[in-house]
Amino acid sequence: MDYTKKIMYQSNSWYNDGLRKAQVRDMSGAIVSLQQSLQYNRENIAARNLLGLVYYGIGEVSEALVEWIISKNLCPRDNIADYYIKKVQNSANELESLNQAIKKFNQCLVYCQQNGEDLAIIQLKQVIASHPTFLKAYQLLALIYIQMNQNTKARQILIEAKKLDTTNELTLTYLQEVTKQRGRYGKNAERSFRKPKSATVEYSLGNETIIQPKRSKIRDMAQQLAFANILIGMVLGAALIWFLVAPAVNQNRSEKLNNQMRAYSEQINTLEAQVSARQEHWISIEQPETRHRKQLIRQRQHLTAMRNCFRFQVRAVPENIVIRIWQTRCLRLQEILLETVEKRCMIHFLILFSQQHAREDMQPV
Amino acid sequence: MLNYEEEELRKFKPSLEVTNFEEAVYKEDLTDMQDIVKEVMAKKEKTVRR
Repeated sequence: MDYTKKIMYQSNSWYNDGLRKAQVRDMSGAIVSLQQSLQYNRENIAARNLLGLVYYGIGEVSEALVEWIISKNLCPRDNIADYYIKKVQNSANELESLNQAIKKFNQCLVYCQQNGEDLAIIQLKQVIASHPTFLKAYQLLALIYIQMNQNTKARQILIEAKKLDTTNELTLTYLQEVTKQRGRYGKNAERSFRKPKSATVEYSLGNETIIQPKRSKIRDMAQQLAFANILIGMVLGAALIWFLVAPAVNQNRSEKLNNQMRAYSEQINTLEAQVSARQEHWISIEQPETRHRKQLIRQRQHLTAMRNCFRFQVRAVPENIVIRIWQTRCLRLQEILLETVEKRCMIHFLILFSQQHAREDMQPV
Repeated sequence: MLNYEEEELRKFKPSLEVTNFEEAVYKEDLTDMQDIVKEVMAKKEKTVRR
């Protein structure tokens, strides 16, 4: 095989390798492979155009333009590099802003060498804002953060950088360093190393950097704090009423109730005494009355029985014997009647007796 | 631990500005393997003629 063909095959092989790496955004690997391809064959247009694209992908616009212009010089017809160049040159404003970003980055390098890291951080943030694919800016900013022991911020920046170029040696080294430092000092180490927070906010308006005093969080939360204060006041007031005023009110109420209870109980006692007295009185009245009534009924029955007996004896026995018996029985009855309380009965009976006696006295014995 | 000033910072080179890329085009070394082989073969031919 001719050596030129061998060289071209080798160049194409490297180009394929570079293309595979570029497809998985392994920009560093792709750059190495494509440069190898071009070292074998400088007229490998595809490899050169792809190298330009890879440079553009990591924010190296000038390097990309260099590759595309060489490509166009080597192959003026049917070259996609022409399209890329026109595309970049047509957006003049964008190109200008990219150029400004690159200038600022170069300026940041000077600041870092002169120990002006604070200023470099501000500039690099602006660079990243205006040129978001500029890998070097991310890496430099991360390096400054690592130097200032702000590992969390450095880690965030490096993760963004890793998205642009997955296998960049510098990015991976810095990530490893951040991980080491976090493991060594813990998450709290960052707080101890951190510089005091600046009381200003800086931002750029056009080409000017404006520095304003920072808004305090307390002022931002003023409305929420006022609402919280009102709530706390309401809760405290409720607690005060509950623990201080309510017991006094309850005590007064309970005292009133106790007094009322006492008065009622006294009234009940007097009424009970009255009732018991009445009951005793009624019992004392009722018992003799019933006793007397029963005695009276018994005596009436006895009297009627005696009357019947008397009538029967009067018919059977001679008159003088009858009268004697009658007299003795009457006397006995009289005695019985004297024992009873009912004087009226006795009087009535005596009247009857006297009338009967008077009638019998008039008759001959 | 990274050596910030003496090692790491030196890894960063100034980027090529857009206004200066023409100069970079001229400075680009376009020598490839074919050039080197041709040069080597030419030298070899010279030595054979001598």
